[in-house]
Amino acid sequence: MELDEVQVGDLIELSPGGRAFRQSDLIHIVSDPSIAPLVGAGEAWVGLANLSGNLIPVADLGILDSGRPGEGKTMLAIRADGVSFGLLCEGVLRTCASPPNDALADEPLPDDPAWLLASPPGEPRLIEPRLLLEDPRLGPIR
Amino acid sequence: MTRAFRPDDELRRELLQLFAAESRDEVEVISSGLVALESDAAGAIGAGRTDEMMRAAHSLKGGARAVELESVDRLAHALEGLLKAAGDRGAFDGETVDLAYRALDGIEAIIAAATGGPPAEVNVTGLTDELQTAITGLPGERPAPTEPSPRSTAPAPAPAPEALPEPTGPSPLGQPDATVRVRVSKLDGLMAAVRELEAARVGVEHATGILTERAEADDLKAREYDVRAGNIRETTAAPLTRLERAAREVAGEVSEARTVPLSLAFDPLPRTVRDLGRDLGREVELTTSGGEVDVDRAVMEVLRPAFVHVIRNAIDHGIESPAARAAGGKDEKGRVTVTGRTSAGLLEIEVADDGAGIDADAIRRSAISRELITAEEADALPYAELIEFVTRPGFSTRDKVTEISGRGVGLDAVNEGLGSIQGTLGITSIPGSGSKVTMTVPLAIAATEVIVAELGGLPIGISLSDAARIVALEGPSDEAIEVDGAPVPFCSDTTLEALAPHGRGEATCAIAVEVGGRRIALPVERLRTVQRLSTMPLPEPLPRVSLIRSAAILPDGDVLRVIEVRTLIEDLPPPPVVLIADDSAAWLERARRHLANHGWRVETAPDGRVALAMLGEGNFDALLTDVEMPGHDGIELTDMVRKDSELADIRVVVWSASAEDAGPAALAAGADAFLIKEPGAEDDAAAALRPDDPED
Repeated sequence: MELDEVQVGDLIELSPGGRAFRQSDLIHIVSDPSIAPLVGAGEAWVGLANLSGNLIPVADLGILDSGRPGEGKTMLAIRADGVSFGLLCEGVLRTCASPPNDALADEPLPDDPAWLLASPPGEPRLIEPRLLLEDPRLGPIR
Repeated sequence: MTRAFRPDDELRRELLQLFAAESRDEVEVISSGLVALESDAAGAIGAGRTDEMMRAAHSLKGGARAVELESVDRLAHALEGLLKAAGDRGAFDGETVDLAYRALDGIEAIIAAATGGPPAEVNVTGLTDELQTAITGLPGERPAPTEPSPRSTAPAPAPAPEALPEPTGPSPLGQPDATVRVRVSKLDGLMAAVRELEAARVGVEHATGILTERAEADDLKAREYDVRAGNIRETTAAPLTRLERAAREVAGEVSEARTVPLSLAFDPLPRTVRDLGRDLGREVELTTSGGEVDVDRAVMEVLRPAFVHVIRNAIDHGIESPAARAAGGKDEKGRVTVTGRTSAGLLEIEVADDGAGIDADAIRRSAISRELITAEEADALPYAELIEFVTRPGFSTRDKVTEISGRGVGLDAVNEGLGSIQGTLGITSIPGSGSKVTMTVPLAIAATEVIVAELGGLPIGISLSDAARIVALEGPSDEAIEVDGAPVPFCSDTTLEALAPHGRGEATCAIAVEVGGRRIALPVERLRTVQRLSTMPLPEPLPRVSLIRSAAILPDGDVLRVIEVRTLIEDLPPPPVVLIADDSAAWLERARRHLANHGWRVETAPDGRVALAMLGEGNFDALLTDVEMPGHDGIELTDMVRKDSELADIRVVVWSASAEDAGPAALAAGADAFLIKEPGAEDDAAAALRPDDPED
């Protein structure tokens, strides 16, 4: 990529596109992390990872987003509501800017999870980590 | 001219937080001292205790000045005067202690308000005046008039102690025993940094190894590389060893810094018991044991409020009025016993009372009125399941909210708090005889010896204290291994798949683990090492995972899951249950431990009446009873068991230390065996209770 093609923005869009996080919610992006498996914690939790000497639980974004285990090997370390956790995804596509405040968003579909915020047509949908933690597939929150 | 130092807002907030944490300890010292001195009619407690309390009041005063809390300064100064006067004249009566407690409550309320809590409604001047009046009005020789607090604006002077220096200067940090307060989050951060340091060391060691291997393998310039490889090894070996030692020492020191004695959680209890007893018109004696166990601070944060909740419940809902107790044939003074003990990396704390037990009808009524169950379901529920409702959020058996209870916030909060540190709450109760709340929590987060093995190609840990034996497997194994001549079955496939969901290799050895005398084996692909590790509870926001107790980060950076062996044991059929009835606490505990180690689940009863009630409520396989006990003696108990169609088939062993000639009567009443209590008799009891068991 040429230098003048680099987009600077406050969001980070995930591969293959259509989903984004605020950069301010991200702590780290880790490629191919070593994950110790955990069974019985909740459908979407896959295990534990070492993030700079700290233990964090890791969930599969594929299960949360589509109900199917993903094949991603990139871990986004996210911080929300005072806790840190990892999310496995396919990878990071690009950085981009939030749409303008007055942009009209698409209507969310009835089955959309609460953590997937509506966005204008053609823009990635923002994932709200605080609401993501309330997804029932992550089990009862302690 | 110099300007007085005025901390800015942010610094003052930080100082206030530090002072608030520090003040809790000082208040505890004074509070527990007041309870002890009030009940010390014989004057057995030396002046040292009063000095300790005065020092605490003095520290409160000094700290209050540092954060410019003048009202706390005034109250602490006057309180210190009261403690001195009462100590000098041996006058810690109920009135003086009540006033001192009110001063402490005022101090706590003001500090709480200053650190973001609700506004404090404390009449500081009025309270200070009351303290001063009490000082001059105490019986005995009056103290010499002394200067008021140098910062005090209170009109009434309070005497200052003569021997204690004013806390004007900084702490003497150069002294070996000097202390500083450190936030637990800082220690956590330090520990994470240590783990990174250790991972980096392993990385450097690994890289050095690869470098030297490459050098040794290069044929073309073998000699030259050999020399360089040797140099690399020599020059890196010593620094790496020093680095390893330093990292281990820092990790150990940080772990140690996180632990505090369990007795700190006991400190607020005497006052809770005293105040509640007085408010409710009940006499209560509190006994604590096991305070010497060291627990992690994070565990302590949960235990302290949990204890207060449970003790309040015991007194408010359990202990009857002296008149009611006397009418029921009980001692007028109720008893609450708190016992802490450790087992298999866990801390088990029992809070037992000898009160009325949990009122099943009240629970039924409340559960039905809250539409938690129907009337039919309530009638069908056994007592043991019914009493579990008391741990439900918002559940209360009280119709009216009082100062003490009725809000439905109590055991559910305890349950939730324990859950946050992987702990559990258990409740048993015998109507008319009392209740027992058992809290089980991990000792923590502190460093423990862990067997690190490999399962599914990934590290898996078992606490060394949980392991009974490691056995090498010769070829594919069947369903069990043999340990000490007895078969030990393997964990179920379901359990193994949960531990290694991505597949397993061929097992080369098995780790036999033991809980309460029951054993099960975990087959693993290989053993890596036994290592002292800082394990920690599973991180939030993970919910509880029954199979994994805790986790640790290995020196190479890999995550180690440490198995909850109690869950492994659940693969086994349930253990037999024995009730031990004995009025000798020593024999009761001795037999309890021994039988638990022989695979029994053990319940205990302190007399024949309680034992009979428990036998009626529980599902027991055996009874081990003393002969001479209050309530019913062991012979009567045996006779009643044999005449009860529901209990007639259980195995009964009677033993006695003093009634040696009771054997024929015991056997005539239907006992299966009679034993003399003497050293080693527990072995005989274990054998007599389960004569067909090959282990016995």
